[in-house]
Order: sequence, then structure tokens, then C-alpha cells
Amino acid sequence: MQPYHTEVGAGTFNPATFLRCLDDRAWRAAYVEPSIRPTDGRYGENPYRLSHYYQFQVILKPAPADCQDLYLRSLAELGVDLAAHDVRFVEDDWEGPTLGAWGLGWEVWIDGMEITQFTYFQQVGGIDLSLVPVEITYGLERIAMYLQKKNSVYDLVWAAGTDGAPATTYGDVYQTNEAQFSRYNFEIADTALLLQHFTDFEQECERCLAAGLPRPAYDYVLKCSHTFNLLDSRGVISVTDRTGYIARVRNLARRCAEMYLSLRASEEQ
Amino acid sequence: MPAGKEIDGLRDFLFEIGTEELPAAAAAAALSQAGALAAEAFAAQTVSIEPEKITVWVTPRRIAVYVRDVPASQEPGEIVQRGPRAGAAFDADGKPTGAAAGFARSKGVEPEELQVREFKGQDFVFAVKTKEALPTQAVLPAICRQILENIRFGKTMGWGGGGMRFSRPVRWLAAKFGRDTIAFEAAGLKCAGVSRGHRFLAPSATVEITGAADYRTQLAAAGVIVDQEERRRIILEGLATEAGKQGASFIDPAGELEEVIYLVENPSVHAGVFAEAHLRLPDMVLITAMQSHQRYFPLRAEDGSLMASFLYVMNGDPASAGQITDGNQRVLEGRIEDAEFSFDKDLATGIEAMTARLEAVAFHRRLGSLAHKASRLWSLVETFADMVNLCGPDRKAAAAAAKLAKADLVSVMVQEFPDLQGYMGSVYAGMEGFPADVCQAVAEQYMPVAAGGALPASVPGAVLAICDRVDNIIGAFSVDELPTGSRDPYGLRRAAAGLAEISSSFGFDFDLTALLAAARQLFIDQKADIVREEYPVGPAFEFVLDRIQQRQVEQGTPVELVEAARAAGLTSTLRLLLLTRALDEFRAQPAFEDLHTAYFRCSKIAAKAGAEIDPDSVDESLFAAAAEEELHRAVLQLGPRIAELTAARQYGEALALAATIRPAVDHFFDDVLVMAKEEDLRRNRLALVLGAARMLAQLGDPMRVAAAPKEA
Repeated sequence: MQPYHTEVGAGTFNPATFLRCLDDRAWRAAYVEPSIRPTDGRYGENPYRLSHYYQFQVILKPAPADCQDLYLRSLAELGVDLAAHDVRFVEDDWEGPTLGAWGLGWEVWIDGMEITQFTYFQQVGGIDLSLVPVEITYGLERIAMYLQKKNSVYDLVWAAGTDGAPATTYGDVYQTNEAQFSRYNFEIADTALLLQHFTDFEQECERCLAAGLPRPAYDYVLKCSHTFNLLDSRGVISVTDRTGYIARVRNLARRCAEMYLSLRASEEQ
Repeated sequence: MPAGKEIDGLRDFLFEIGTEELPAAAAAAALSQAGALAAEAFAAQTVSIEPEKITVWVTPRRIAVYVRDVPASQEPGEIVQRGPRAGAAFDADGKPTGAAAGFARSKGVEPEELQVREFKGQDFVFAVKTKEALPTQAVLPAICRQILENIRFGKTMGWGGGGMRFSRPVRWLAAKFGRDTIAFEAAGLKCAGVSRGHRFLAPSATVEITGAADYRTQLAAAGVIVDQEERRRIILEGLATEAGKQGASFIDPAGELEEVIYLVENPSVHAGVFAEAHLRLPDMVLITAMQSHQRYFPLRAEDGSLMASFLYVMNGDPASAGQITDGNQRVLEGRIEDAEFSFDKDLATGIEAMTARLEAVAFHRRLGSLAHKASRLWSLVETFADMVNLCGPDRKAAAAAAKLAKADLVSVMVQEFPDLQGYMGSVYAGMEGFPADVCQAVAEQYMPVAAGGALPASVPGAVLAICDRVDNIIGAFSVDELPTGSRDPYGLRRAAAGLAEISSSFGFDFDLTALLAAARQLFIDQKADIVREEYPVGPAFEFVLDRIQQRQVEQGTPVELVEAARAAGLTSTLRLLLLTRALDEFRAQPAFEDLHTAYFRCSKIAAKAGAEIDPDSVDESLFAAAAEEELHRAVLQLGPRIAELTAARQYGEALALAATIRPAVDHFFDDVLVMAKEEDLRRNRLALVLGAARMLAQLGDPMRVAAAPKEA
């Protein structure tokens, strides 16, 4: 599949994961997802932190019994000699409070570096999942840094140069973006406008739900979530307010999930 | 060797639960439960084993129960069912009655076979049938299932394994009884005799277990050290050897070793380095970068300085150590550079600017900003310093530290590594030239971090730590956000216990209710949004006492002893602890009985006196008996001396002295009728007893205490 067409913080937010995990029909999907995380930006100055990076998202429902082996074989396919490295599954329980979702699993380490999140979802949109999916999220920059043995994400070779020309690096493509977006996210974004947007998106989501349209409604959940992230990076949301905003997004996500499920159930009849 | 066992019919048993990687805490949980579960499961099936022959091995990918010398069959058992009373079961000739015959028939035995046995002191008839002893092999599936299904974890998940829940998915089961495979189905899996080796080091994917006793060796050949204690030994030896090579010693302040043991199946220890230039960072920053998340072990040189190297425990092939170390070094380098980036940003900001930023950060939505918090802290430190007569440099340092204490909460470092709160503030303050005692107090304000953890070492640190906790406790009470059940988001229980521990360790003798009241007043002065209507000082004080009581009970003090001391109504936690200790010692002495009796007799009558009776209104001219005079004199003499001793916190001596009142009390109650008909006499005698009771009650309530068991 393809990335979703609006900003998301992780591949989990893509409806190909969020909505498709809810019901009891088998589903398998894989796609690259640009992850937009305003608060993680470091003005392009930090070699590991980015406000925009790529995940490769795999969702398998139901989780096959050999999913760990399948994953390890995919690493071998990428060129990792498993026997010559220290690959570990290190406990990491995942929780997505804005999506009302949680799961148990691991972060996968290769020689001490985290390269993948591996999670068996237990609940999504506040709904207990009877058919347990596994989500495998590959951190593409991390894996590339590992394979290319680079200490800075900006030194990654994006495209090798031809005819002796220098290679195009990740930095050539994205470093200026990071600087500009960090400045925008932390300093420039119009908070009054964003606060208004949050309320508008929330209301539009409600209107979609009232019209019985959970899929467009869910798009507005994503817009609310991204707007909240921007407000958060502008530092205008206090610790206590955070909880309130997160609860509002989660509530919408839960209602989208419930309506999606009930429509799926009636489609089947 | 097995021949001898086979003659006895004894065989070894092995049950392995194969899982995806268990969290270290889950592995520890399984280790602590599986042995007892196995013992219960064998007992439930009446297969007689010796509990000390049960061994449990846990790795990230397996929980194995190994039992030596398991008999080939169940114990022959009895099925016993109780019938009518013996008296109603046999007639005069000793023949079974109709009732007995009916009972025997219903249980499938002949009436003549009924046995008479005692039950709760009376004779009944019983139908007794011998149960057929099944071969152990037939009941092992049930035993395995019972173990599998009863291991409890803090968090469990489903994965589609036959509806089962476990810490992580169970992917295989293996069971052997001697050389025989125990086959059954559970968790959606078929149990067989096949295990799996190390994910990457095993020569083949599966291991056919030839016999229960071969399991450990076969797994070792497949790259798995199943015994956690063996892994611990290998890791500790490796750490010592590798550290020794560098003339250093390894440290593990975060206690990562316990976890690392359960993260690897085939440990080997290796050394890595990071750039020397990073040593400019404070030690704790480097140690945190190494230990948290990565679980590396930092190295200290002989002179105590941190080295630019680390040790780590690998689960891979030692032959590839070179490139694996290389990868780990790159990760650590990245983490340290990240920390360095944050550290330099903080330095550029400076601690003064951080303090200024506290206004913008909420402490609690109803209780103002962190700047409000810092200001309250400073005022409270001044109040507390007055209460404990603190002056000179310690007082100055505590007050200065209070102003800086919360600055690091807005630092980038503390946002990245919350455990470094306090420490980072002290580092930044030190780099900007604040005096060492101020910095130390800032660093120590959150100590003890955990129950039983290290206390602040300096007086200013202790003062700050106490005031911070008092502010937190009264703040939470003011907004009605108290700990409930397992939820204690502000760590108030720990705060209360820590408060008492610091007070007693530093000998701070102060009225906690007064300090709580002062803290409460500061919230009012700041116009905090207090939602609780009830005055919070009393409940907050009782909350602290409850935590002290629980801590003491956990440490082995009998609960009634703590309650006895609490009854004295002391408002100083130091005094409360001293009185508890004194009561504990005193109850072993013969004089304790005197105190107990005197207290008992006085307080029983005193309880009958109305509130209008004033113990200070005793009129000597109304005395009619010598015993009245005697008791009055005793109270007048002992009162001031006991007061003197308690003022000096000499509770042991005070208790001993108080006990000497017993003869006077005994004479009084033996010779004098308190409830005299004449009202003036009655009131005078009640006042006298009330005075004695009041004097004794300031030393607690000895009636709650059982005398210490006498030495045999």
C-alpha cells in the first residue's frame, strides 16, 4: 500500500492499520509511512533526532505463529548476517493514548541499536481485539545507518553519485527541511489558528459521525492529532491540558472505531 | 547410574514452556512461582516427590521445570466419605442399621465394610474405598497443564493460542518423563519432546530431547545456558575479568545485572570504548547514558574516576565480538552525543534563566507553577529552620538551595532523563559557582529515591527533602488527590515514609502538625485553588503516621506496639519512633506489668469521668484515706520528673519511672471507693485518677502491648 495522504505520527495511524485491525477479517498490509513528530525536531543539528522520518509498516492479522522468524528473515534479506550480530527482542510495551490502543512486544536491537518496534496489539480504539494482529515497524533511517555504518542520519547515502559525482546524502535532501520545520514547529506556528483548527476539525469529525461516515470522520481524528502535536511543540499546552486534549482525540477515535465496526458487521449480513 | 533409579522405579521429569522473549520481570515472576506450582501439581495428583528435587530454569525463551526422582505411579490413595454417627449406624447387636446399610449401598460398599472413625470428637461410620494408583505418566499431562495455566504475570496478552493468556506468546511445549515423551495439547500446541536452541547459535533449529536428565546438556550444546545462576556466574566472572584487564572495576548503580541475566541465553562479556572527550560530562550523565536502556556497565579506574570505556553482555557469537562491539560503541556514542547536545543547551541557558522559566510551567493545575512551588519551598525551609533551631551556614545553604531546587525541571537533560532531577540542578549550580553545600542540598532533595534508599548526607539536603515532601503532601490533601489502592501518582506514601526516616536519622525533633499547617498557609497565601473544605492538617498528619506505622511493621515491629506509641499523641515523628523503641525494650522487663496494671486501673475509671472534671482541681482537704494522699503525692512527684525525661527524649527512663506508681495506684483502688455517694468526694477522686491517667498516657497505651515473650 501507499502512505496516507495526511500527516500522521506513525504508520499505526494510517487507516490501513487502525481501522483494519478492528474486525475479525484477516488482513495483511505493508507500506512506507512518513512520520511527522513536531516535538522531536532538533533544527537539523542533532544526528539522530528528526521531526520527519520514515517507517516501514507491516501489519499481519492474525499474527502468524512464526512472525518473529519471518521478521528475522526479512532482516537477512536486507543484508544483515544474523549469526554474526547480536539481535535481541527487548521488552517494550506500546501504548498510543490518542488512539486508545495498546499492545505488548519488543523493540528489536541489533548490536545495541533499536531498529524495529514489534507489537502484538491487544486493544485499538478502545476495543479489545479478538483476532490479535502483529505490527512490525521498521525504522528505515536506523536500519540504513546500521547497514551503511553511519553515525549521523545526514551522512546516509540517499543516492550514489554517477560518473564520479558525489553521492546525494540524506542531509542534502532533508537537513534544510528539518531546520525550517523545527523553527516553524517550535517558534512560528500560529497557535490561535491551530487552536481554532483543533475545534473545527473536532466538529467536522462529529458531523461525519452524525452522517454515519466513520472513514472521513477518522481523517479528522488524524487532523486533530497532528494539530495537537503542533500545539504541543509550540509549548502552549500545559501538562494537565495535555490529558484533556488527548482524551478528546481518543474519544473521537473510539467512536470512529465503533461505527466502523458496526458498519462492517451490517455489510456482512 | 540410571540403573539404580530404575530399580526403584524413579525417573526424572522435565517440562519446558517455550516462549517468545519474556520481559526480565516476567522471567523473574515465573522463576519465583514455577517450583511451588510444580509441587502443588504433583501433590494434587498424589505423585510423591521431594520438593527440594524441583529445579526451575528460566531464560528469555523458556521456563523449564525439572524434577528428579519421580516415582512411576501415584500413591495408593483412599476415597473417604462420611456417613451417619456410629451410634445410629449399628443396633444393639452391633449389626448395621437400615441407615447404615442405605449409606453403604449409596457409596458402593458392603455395610460390613463400613469403618468407624473419629470426626470432630465424635464417632462416625465411613465408606472407605481404595483408589487405584495410576501410572505417573498418565497424570503428567494434567500436572503440566496445571503449571502452565497458573503462572501469574503482572501483564498478560492474548495471541490466538487457544484463548490462553501469558506474558508473551507460548510457541512450543516439551515434556519428558525419563526417556518417554509426554504428549498432550495445551495453549493450542501439541506438547512433544522437541525443544529449540539459541536463536542464532544453535546448529539446528530444533533439539530432540533424548531424556529429561539430558535436557540441560543438550541445550548447552544448542547454545543455551538454561540455569540462570550459571549465567549470573559467567556474567560476573566476565565483568570482573574484563574490568581487571583495564585495571578498573565495573559499577552497576542501576542494578541492571538482575535484568541482563534474563536478556541472554548465552552470555559473554565484552568491552567497548567511547571518545575520551565525553569525559567532560558529569559522571551521572555518562552512567545514565550507559545504564538506562542500553544496560552497559560503566568502569571506574582505581582513583575512582570514570573511564571512557564500558562493558556489555552479548547474546551473540563471541567470534563476531569485533563487529558487535563496534555497533554497540556507535549506539553509545550516539546516546552520549545526544546527552552532550542537551547538556550544552542547558549550559547555554544557565540555571538563573531556568529558574525564571519556572513561572511558565505548571506544578499542578490548582496549585500554581513551579515558581510558586520554589517560593513556598523557600518559606517553608525558613519556618522549619526556626522549628529545629537551625542556624549558621546550614540554614543559609538550605535557603539558597530551596530557591534553585526546581530549576533543573525545565532543563533539557531532565526532560530526557527524568531520573537525573536534582543531580543536574546541582551540576549546573556548581558550574555557575554556587557553594558546594548548596549544590549538595539540591542534589539530595529527592532522597531517599526508593524505600530503603540512601538518605541525604548533608543537613541542608535533609531540610530541603523534608520541606519538599511536606509541601507535596499538604498540596495533594488540599486538592483531594490522595493515593488510592495501587495508585499513588505523586509518590506520597514514599514521601511520608522518607520524611520520617530523614527526621529520625538527623534527629530533627519538630511538631509535624505545625509544619503541615505552615505549608497549608503558604498555599492559602498564594491563593491556590484549594478544593478540600475540611482542614487538611489532621488527616495529612494521620496519613504520615500510617505510613510510618506500615514501614515499622514491615521492618518487624509488632503492629500493636506502634499503635501503643501512637496513642501518646506525639506530633514529632522522631519522638514517636523513640517511644516505640523504648516500649519495645520496656515490655521485656518485669516492671512492664506494673505500668500495664497502673495504666489499666486508672484509665478504666478515667474513662467514666465526664469531660467537666479537671484533673488539676484535686482538693487535698477532701482526702479521707491515706491511699488518696499517697497517690496524689506520687502524681505530684513523678509528673515533673517524667516531663523532664520525655523533654529530653529519654523514654526508657520515663517508662521505668512511670511504672513505679503502681503501689500507690493499687493501694488507692484497694482502699478507696472512687464512685462515692458524696459528689464532692467522687469528683475529687475522679480528678485524682484522671491526673494519674493523663500522666501515664503521654507514654502511650501499654494495654495495646503484649509483654515480650519471656526467654525460655
